[in-house]
Amino acid sequence: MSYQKSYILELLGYFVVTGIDFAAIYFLFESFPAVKGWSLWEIVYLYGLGSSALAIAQLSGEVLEDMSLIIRNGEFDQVLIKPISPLLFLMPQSFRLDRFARLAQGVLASGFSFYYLNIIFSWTNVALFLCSFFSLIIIFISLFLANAATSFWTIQSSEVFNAFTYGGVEMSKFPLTIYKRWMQVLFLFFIPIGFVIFFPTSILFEKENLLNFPKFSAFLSPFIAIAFFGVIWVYWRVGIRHYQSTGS
Amino acid sequence: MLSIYLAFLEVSFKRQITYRIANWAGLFTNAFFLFFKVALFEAIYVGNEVVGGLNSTSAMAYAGLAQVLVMVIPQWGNIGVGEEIRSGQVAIDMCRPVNYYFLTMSKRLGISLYYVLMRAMPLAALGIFVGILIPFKNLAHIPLFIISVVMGSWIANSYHFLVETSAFWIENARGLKTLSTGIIYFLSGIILPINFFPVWAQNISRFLPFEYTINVPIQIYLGTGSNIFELMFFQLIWCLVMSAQCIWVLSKGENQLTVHGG
Amino acid sequence: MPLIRVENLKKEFRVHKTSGGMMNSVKGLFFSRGEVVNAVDDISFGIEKGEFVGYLGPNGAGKSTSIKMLTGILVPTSGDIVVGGITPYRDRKLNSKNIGVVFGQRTQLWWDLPPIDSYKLLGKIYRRPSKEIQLKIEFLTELLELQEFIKSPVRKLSLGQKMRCELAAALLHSPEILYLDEPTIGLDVVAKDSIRAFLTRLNETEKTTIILTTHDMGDVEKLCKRVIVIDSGKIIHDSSIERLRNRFGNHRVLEVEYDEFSEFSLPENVTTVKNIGNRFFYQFDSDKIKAPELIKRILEHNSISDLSLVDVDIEEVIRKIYHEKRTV
Repeated sequence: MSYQKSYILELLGYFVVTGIDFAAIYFLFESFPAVKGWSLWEIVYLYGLGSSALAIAQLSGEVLEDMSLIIRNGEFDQVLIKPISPLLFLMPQSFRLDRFARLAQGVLASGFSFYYLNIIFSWTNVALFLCSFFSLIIIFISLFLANAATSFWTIQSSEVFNAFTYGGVEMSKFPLTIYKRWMQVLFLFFIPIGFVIFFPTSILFEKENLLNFPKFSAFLSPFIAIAFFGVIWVYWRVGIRHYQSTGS
Repeated sequence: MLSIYLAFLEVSFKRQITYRIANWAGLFTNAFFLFFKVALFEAIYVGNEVVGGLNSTSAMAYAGLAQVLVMVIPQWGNIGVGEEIRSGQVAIDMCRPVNYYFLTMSKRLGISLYYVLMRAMPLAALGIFVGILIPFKNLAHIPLFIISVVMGSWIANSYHFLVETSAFWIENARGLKTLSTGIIYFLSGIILPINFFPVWAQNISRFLPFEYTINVPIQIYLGTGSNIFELMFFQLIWCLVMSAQCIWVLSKGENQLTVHGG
Repeated sequence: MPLIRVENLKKEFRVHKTSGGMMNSVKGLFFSRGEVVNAVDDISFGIEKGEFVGYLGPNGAGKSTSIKMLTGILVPTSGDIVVGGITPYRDRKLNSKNIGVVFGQRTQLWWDLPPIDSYKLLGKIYRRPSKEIQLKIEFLTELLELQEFIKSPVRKLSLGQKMRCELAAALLHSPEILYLDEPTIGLDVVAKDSIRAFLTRLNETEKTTIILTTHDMGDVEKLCKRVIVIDSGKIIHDSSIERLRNRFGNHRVLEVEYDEFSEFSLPENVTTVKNIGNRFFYQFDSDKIKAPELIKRILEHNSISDLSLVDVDIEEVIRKIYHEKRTV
């Protein structure tokens, strides 16, 4: 099968998978009227937000998922020999054209939700969306980085951060209010996916606030995300240092 | 003959044990999804209504069970058959006095057995501890449940085998894999219980093998769905159908290999 | 002041042991034990600019561990390393600018791209002006004869071609020091010769300091002026290559083809190594008896049709060194 045909098949695969994701949400709302007060298109918005942010994060950080393989191959030594920060060297290699398919789905989903929910494109609303969007991208990249950093200690890649990344994306498709307290706390204060999505979005859709947080905390999202990245980045540097102490 | 397959099952089981850290990390992931899905299914019910035969309690139990079984009845593909065909390993297996399909199934059953110990049981304990999993309604159903799980695993693994044999003919099967995984994920009931599908979708699903992988064993456990024996009968049919298909495709593939080279 | 200075360098590793069997596998799920290994055990040496040093040792001797410490990949347990005035593992990026590394079995070139694309990218990574890189590429292409395949994807190249491209990649940024790890492994005779010629020229004209790890004694004989031998983490020999040859005495081998052999007594310090029909191989210590003297003795008793004189095999010397170390 020629390269082009298999490429088309791959794109088709992605679109079917998206269709399936959407069908699942759609079927759910056929059987149930709402999820804790959130309607179909509001959920679709969350879905679109999560998917597109993940897609962009993957475009820059996906190579980090292969970190344990890179270490095992001895390829990381090659990276250390170059006069460049390992991150700067590795991350651009994540760029893959087919990830755009997932990005497209996410953007489409968001777009549709805007339409069906009659969202006005005011400055505030755009700012709220962008807050969530960029913060989420940074958090996802941080999680990829954390996963990669863990590879310096265990040769087998640590699925723990995968749980947070892919699990995080899954759970972010539904409002934070449906989860148990401990899960809310986890995703508000420790892995702030919940923080950066819920507050801006609940303002956007005029939903009830959680824990009575002040409204401006929605705009704190980017700072929280960057702080989170900072912590993980330190972990990464510690990981490299550990690699240099113990060899491969 | 059977002893050879059993030996492979045992080896495959032992190999899995060596992945120490990945075990615990994977368990963590499963537990995470368990809590997430359960919370979701709790939230969508407002009162005590029954949708598709499930009320709030049984829906949560469904979610819990789905996670308990998700590794034992693999939805995620990538069972290694594709790589073995591409690398030529399959040619080596063809020189042995074994059937490659049954060999793969033995290995997969070994892995499933491992996951019963390392994932299903701890997760089940967790589910019972937090009060999500209700114990069996009818103890006599336990052996039936176990058989149903084994059959479900057989069907799922055969499906993945079938998809991966495309490697005999197709170079880059990534698109096919994505597509096929998406299909089984959706139609097996693990993302959304089949009970929550609109009726027309449920009718279509009934004629496909996917719901007989994980949805049916869960129904048997919960005591919902139609007659147990009817469900298990259909599972058996699908086991046979899938096996027949796999064996047939395999022989075509092996033919391809010997005629055209690796 | 040596360019590379290593003092009392030590590197310890913690190694996990796993025993087989079912119970141990399951135990391994919960506990894991380790023991300490001295990969590099108190080594010291200095290398001056422009030297061509062979770094030899059996597998597991500590060669790659030492090289990794020199290149900044690994942090020593104790001891000093100074390369070009800086500590490699502390100032990794600075050190990297000054070194080129070729790993025999692995490549730093991008697999699917032609080497020239990798070179351009590397040029950016080393922050060299593109004009400079352009000239360097042309220069190296000429020298290593890469013209034919520099635009073909790396995966399509033969081993010899790949190695030449690999060398070019390592030298693009004109490093002062070049580390080579088994560069001629798997190459045919012609390829080996061309690479050796290139390395000799590089060392002589550019004064690039070269440190070569190899198992190929041909490499050592033809290229290295100095040899350091390491075994079980310790240096067991460090000298010029002549001294290495003479370590066990100044042995030479005389090969003689007799017209017809008649028995005679050999002088002292001469042993018959082997004979094939009328062809005899004599080993002698040229400190104790000179070649002409031996030849005279032979001619006293026999007539010969051919003779040749060979210096002792380096490989033989190395083997003796390992053996000596083991039996001490």
